[in-house]
Amino acid sequence: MRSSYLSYLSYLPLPVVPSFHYSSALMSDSRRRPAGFATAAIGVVVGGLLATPFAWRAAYATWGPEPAAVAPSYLPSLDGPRPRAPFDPGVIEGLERMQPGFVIIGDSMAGRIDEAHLQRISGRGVAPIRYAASGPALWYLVVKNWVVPSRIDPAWVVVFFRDTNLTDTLFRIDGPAPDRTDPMALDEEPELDALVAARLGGPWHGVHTTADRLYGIDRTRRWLEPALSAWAARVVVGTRRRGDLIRQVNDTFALERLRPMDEADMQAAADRDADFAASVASSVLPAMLRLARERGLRLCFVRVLRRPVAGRPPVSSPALDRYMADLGGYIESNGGWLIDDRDDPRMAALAYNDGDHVDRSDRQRYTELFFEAISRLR
Amino acid sequence: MSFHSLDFLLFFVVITALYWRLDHRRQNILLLVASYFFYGYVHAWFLILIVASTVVDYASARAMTAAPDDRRRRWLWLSLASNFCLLGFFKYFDFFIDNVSAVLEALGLGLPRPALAIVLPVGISFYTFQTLSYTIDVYRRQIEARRSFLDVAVFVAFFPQLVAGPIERASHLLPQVERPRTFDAGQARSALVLMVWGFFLKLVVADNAGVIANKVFALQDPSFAVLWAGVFAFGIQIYADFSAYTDIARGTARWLGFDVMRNFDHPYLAKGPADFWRRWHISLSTWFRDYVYIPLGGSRTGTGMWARNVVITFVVSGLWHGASWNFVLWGLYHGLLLVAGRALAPLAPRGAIGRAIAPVQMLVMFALTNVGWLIFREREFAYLVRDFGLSPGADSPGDLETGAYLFLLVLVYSLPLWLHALWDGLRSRQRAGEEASYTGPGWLAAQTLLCGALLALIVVFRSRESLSFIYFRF
Repeated sequence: MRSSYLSYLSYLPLPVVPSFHYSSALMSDSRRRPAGFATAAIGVVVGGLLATPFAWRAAYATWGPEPAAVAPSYLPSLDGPRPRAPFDPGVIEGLERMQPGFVIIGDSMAGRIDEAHLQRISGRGVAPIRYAASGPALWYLVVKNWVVPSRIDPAWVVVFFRDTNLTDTLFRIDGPAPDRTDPMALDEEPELDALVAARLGGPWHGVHTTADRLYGIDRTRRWLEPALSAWAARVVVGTRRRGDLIRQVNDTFALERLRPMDEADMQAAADRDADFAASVASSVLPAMLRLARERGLRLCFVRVLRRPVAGRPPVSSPALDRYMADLGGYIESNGGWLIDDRDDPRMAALAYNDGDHVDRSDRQRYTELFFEAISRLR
Repeated sequence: MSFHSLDFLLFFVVITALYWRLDHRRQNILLLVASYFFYGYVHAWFLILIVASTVVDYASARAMTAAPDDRRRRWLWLSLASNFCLLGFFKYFDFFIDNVSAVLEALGLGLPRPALAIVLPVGISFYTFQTLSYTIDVYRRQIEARRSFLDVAVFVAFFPQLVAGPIERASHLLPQVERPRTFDAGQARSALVLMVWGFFLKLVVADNAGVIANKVFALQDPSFAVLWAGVFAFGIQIYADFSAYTDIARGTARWLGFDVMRNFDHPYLAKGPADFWRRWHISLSTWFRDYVYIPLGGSRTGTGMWARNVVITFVVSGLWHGASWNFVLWGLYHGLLLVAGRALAPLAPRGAIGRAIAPVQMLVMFALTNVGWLIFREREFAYLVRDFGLSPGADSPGDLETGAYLFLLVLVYSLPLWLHALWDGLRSRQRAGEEASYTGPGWLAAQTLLCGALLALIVVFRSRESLSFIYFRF
């Protein structure tokens, strides 16, 4: 076989591996040993497979961070005990001092509002509560634990979101930084935890949580992932400058340095989650609307879009159109308001940095369009 | 259904548990039902296509056997036309329309473009090629047309390698479908090792490298160092991702008593273009060799025609990967590399000097392969031109540090891949190209530890972002 293969090789310079490669690995030792031995060997391998990851528990206990720093999670269905930052009541005091006319909540999408300009044209104070890369769970906690308890009477509480994010409870909550929501969370958040549990409650959630608890996976990941990054940075620039390098890397991949996104990819992603009826019950939207009603707040949601090419929004799928119609109907019937940026063709004339964020040069213009739209709401 | 989901693990456990309790015929029925379930798990309508393809090719092969010599070709054409129409419509129609529209627009004849937004059924490029090999081989009288539709259907839809290969040949897989199979615990053990290794490659190596590659290729203006760190990441991602799929596929098949061919033989240890293509995506390379290159005349028609045949074969192979000009360019690049490799071959030192410079040859080939990956990954021509115009001299010290940092991270994540390549590659060489085998009590302990260590690494170092298998989109 080998010699004919080699002569074939010299004849044809193209891919010339034998088509049918019978593996010698198939000539297993079960052909030479009793069947019982081979079957037991499978058990040994499977046993070793499942037992070895327990080593992480020992490694964490020996070299990991001090266990005293760990506190129970307010979202036990999502993660176990971990180090957490305390609740920050300072924001409530700040809001009360400011007595804003507008409270602006959201992720970087809310950064399209120029607060100073909104204050000028509206004559009212503006309190931005923006957290980059945040999601609806964080916005809910902001409303529930900061805005509602504060003694303020804003004209509007505005929440910015994109497409289907508002009803995607897990959006940006199950990532590598679970402490992001710590400052606005109380010791227990049963309502949010129930919503998270409803989302995670698929058939495999139990397997994940069991594995996590058995092997201590989450805490080990939180310990080792940053350690690996820090080690690589230390190798490249030394211990003293490793923080600078990590910041430099983050700057390199900052949102404003990205290409306009691929239209088709976004469409597929939007379609996947565009089922309002299936997602609303396990989302934070009903709770946010209820809290606003009970507190007498005028809660307005602003839907923004990606605009990958020349400021134009991507082609909207029938599924996403249906979703937006259902969302609008639901918000209005529950005492809220919705502004959809798609409805205003003037938005297309603005400059978008990466097909996503309004360029700094056009933020005042966006703010004017936003103020015009919200002023029309009754 | 994707291999790296718990749905698949449950599916596999259930199928395996049932499978070994059945007789041969029922095993095949179960395999067919399981394969169709696996394939139609997300989009049930995909099944219409695979069933249609199977029926046409089964009938064509049967008709070919019964037909007189002068009519056999008609049935082959029916099989070729139906499969290529299927592939052409679902994979290339939008590409064709886009390019025709662009040409008409350039000529001032702009017409409204139909917006069909055709969904590409996963695996269509793989199973159409697999089933075509059946009818072509029957036509060539290399194999007999099968009477059993069930056997042919299992061969076409065999779930372990249905979605992303290896593209099996009828002469290899069909006899295994027809032959009674018995459970072999030794095979099952080696299958388990293969599967765990595959999961490790996918979840730890490919996905972590892939996250870095995706970030770099999302940048509007990357620096030279950052771009090439991203290309390196993509080179690791695509190899780890695809060979992971192959390993899981081969492991799954092995559990079920099948031997599925190797698709990779440590391609990044290749010392030249021809060597690379003996090691990369072997099942596709050999398919193109047997059904495109040799029918074109192969190397028997003089050097000029040989070069033409190589370039045509590689351009078509590039287009097989996707309906985009960058894949065509990638194929052309590799075709030209092969031609250049053959032209330079007489200059290559042999003997002790040849062995001494082998590592340098590997590094050069790895660099050339990465140039190819840049062409492969960068879909937009304008960005590609920009990328090749970047100069290391224009990078700031910060850019170089960022590039070095990303490169180092990818290197760390891919370290097991390199160690395995060196270890297994060396053992394979000693065994004259055969796949290394690991059996015996010593290896049992080593495999146990290895599997455990791999799972321990998977649970902690798997990427936070789970990426689809790259070859699903082909």
